[in-house]
Amino acid sequence: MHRYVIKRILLLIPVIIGVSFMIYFIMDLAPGDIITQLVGEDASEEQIAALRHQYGYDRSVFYRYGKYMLGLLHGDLGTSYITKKPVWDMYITRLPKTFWLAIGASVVAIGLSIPLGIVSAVKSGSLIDNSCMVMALLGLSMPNFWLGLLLIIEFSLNLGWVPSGGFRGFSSVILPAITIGTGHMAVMTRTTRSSMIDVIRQDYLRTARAKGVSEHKVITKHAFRNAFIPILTIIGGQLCAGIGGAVITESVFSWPGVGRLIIDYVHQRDVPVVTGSIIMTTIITGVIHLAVDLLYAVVDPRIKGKYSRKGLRLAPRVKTKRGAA
Amino acid sequence: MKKAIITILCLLLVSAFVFAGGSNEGAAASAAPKYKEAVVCADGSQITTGDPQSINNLQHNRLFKCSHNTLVSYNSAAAVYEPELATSWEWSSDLLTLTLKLRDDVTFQNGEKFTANDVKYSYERIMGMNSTASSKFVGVLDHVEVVDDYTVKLVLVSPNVDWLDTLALPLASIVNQKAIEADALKGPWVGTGMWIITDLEEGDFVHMVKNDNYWGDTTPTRELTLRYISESSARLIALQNGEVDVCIGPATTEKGFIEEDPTLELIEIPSSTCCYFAFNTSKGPGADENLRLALAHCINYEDVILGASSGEGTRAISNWGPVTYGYYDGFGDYTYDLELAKQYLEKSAYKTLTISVKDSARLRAAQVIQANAKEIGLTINIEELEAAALTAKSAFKTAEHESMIYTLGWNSYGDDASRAYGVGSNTNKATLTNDRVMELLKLARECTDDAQRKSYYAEIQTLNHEHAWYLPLFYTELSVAVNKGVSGVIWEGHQSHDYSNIVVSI
Repeated sequence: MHRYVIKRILLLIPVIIGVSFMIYFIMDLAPGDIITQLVGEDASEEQIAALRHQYGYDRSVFYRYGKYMLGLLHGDLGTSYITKKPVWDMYITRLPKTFWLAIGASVVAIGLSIPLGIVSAVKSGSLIDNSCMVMALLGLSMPNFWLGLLLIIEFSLNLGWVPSGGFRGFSSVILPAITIGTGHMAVMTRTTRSSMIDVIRQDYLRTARAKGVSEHKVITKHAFRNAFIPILTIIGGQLCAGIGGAVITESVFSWPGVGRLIIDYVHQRDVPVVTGSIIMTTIITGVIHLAVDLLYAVVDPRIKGKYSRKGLRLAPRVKTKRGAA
Repeated sequence: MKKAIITILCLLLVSAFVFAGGSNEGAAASAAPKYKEAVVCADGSQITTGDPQSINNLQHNRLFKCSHNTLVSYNSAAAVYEPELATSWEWSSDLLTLTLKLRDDVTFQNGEKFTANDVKYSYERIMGMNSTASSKFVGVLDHVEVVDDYTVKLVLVSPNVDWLDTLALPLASIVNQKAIEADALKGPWVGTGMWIITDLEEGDFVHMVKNDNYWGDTTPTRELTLRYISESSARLIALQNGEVDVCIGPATTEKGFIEEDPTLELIEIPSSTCCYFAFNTSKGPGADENLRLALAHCINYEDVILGASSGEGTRAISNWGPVTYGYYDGFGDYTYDLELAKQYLEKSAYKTLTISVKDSARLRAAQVIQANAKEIGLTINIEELEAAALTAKSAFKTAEHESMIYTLGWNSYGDDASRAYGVGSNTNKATLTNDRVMELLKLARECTDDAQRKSYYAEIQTLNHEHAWYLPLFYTELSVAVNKGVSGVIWEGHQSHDYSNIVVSI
């Protein structure tokens, strides 16, 4: 188990190098650079030349990238060209807010989609099933900015229950979490449904019923646990997407999260902020995926043995039928 | 019994008098104006720094007008420069030296006394910064001389009668050396202004509290927050539900909601922001005057305003700001004459032109122009670019654009024209290198005769009209929605509003 965790953590290193390389070079290829953003359009040639030298823009992109990576090796994510603040400070200020939003959205998505998916699977082909699927489809179809504004108008403007935007404690998380959560709900509901349908047709459930186990227990204890692994994968993926930032929702709710940080600084060509933030997001994403993989073992103890075996693949193959193996 | 009744009646009479007096006092108290202690202003652009010398844009200017002071300020209503930290000033006869006498009763927010050394430190710091702010100082200010604690001399590289305007810009705010040396990031927040910056959450808000040791008159408001709400509908909703008191730039389509709401007020401010069409005159089709004049005479300018800003704009005759010093429009408008336009186009070797744009409003303006040009046989291609990409493409030295639609927020002083017409300026989107224009700009900069200066500027604008380097389209509308109790704000056409004295009555 420990070997597996260490291997996964070590694998993050080439991923970080690859991601940082791609981001750094894409930012460099994009037309326009930071110098104009810093001195404005009215700057003199001398000022521009001095700044180009100061930030290494008179040398190749490989030099700048190498210098950045050298700093990264010492734990330095760089300093913003625009604000002159350490990127770490800028990122870490935003991260808790993004984390709140990602967790909130996941809670909404899980809370809605798992009951809907189970009911849908159990009542497969019925009116209830179709209604649940329509609800899921609605969640997927509604654009976030539209739903977000509707929620603000109703719950903030008309009812005055929650603030319209910004990070103002728990109450301010509710509306953006619902906005993102309903979008996530659609995928999760369909996954839950199909996963449950696969499982509830298995012989061992028929046996359980024949032995007199109540239907409720059959579904929640025997069927759902075995159907949970694909759902867990989706939850992990959506949590990662949330940590990366939901830019549109963050904009509608004036949410000072990581997504807007990255987008704002992409527009300003602030390479250290963009690269540093994406590296941090990559690390967190890697950790969440690792946590999800480890949770597989909690859900299905047979997987734990596979993690311990020598020469094991880095990610165990997961099957949805009859448990996992 | 009778005695008891009389006693009760007497008591009732006395208490009636007492309560009547009390209610009068209450009435008097309620007549006195009451103000909100904490005021919140919302904007669609974010504030990233509290250092006035590192940046020069509208949302930051609004902050620095609260937290810091400059030596002089410009009263746009009266069109005069007024003392701020300086009490008086005097030009030398060669217009190279400006001597300023300073106030002796000012302290910084950290308790340090303000002296001439702070002016020297602040201006030398700007020149060494390489920021959007420093480009206003480098090449203009030669050095600063401290004469005594409350007298300072500013020596310029060349005569520039508009220098006072630069000194009035928030980027020329005075900062405290000791505070900056103690904390490089938060030290520049310390100014001499009425408001002390206490918290700056980038991408969210800036919070300020009133400086009780402020040297000037103060306001009853105790706290002032500038909030960043990027989405215009969300910004207006925050105003409607009372979360904020000021909403900068509500969406044009939502103005009806403001007008219908009895608690809100819509303030329309004459704007100095001009949207104009710029040809790259250094090469390609934009270098052909016949093509430029053909387009000038075939555009239906009213349709452009309708398309770009739902009709909420004012036709611009000159591409200068209407309140900018030296504005002139005596040459009149281009006539909408398709036959004349066709004649010009026939003389041109070019029959196609590409317009580069960067946002949806300018895209719509370009689409209207595209349709207009089609009527005379001129094919227009539209290229939509991201802001930084367009800036790079239209940089003076390496300009690759054929033409573009540009929006310039004009300052009040005349030499602001150097941005649009000066050789080497990246705001010179026409990549103009006209010798006469350069000569006129220089003459105007060094001229103290008001009428003469204005005649120089009038000639530049007339030349532009004749050669159609820039085609003025419209002045943008500037609106602000506020809580009806808001007062004390100085609303500026160039949008660097002054919130220092804001109050909200309740």
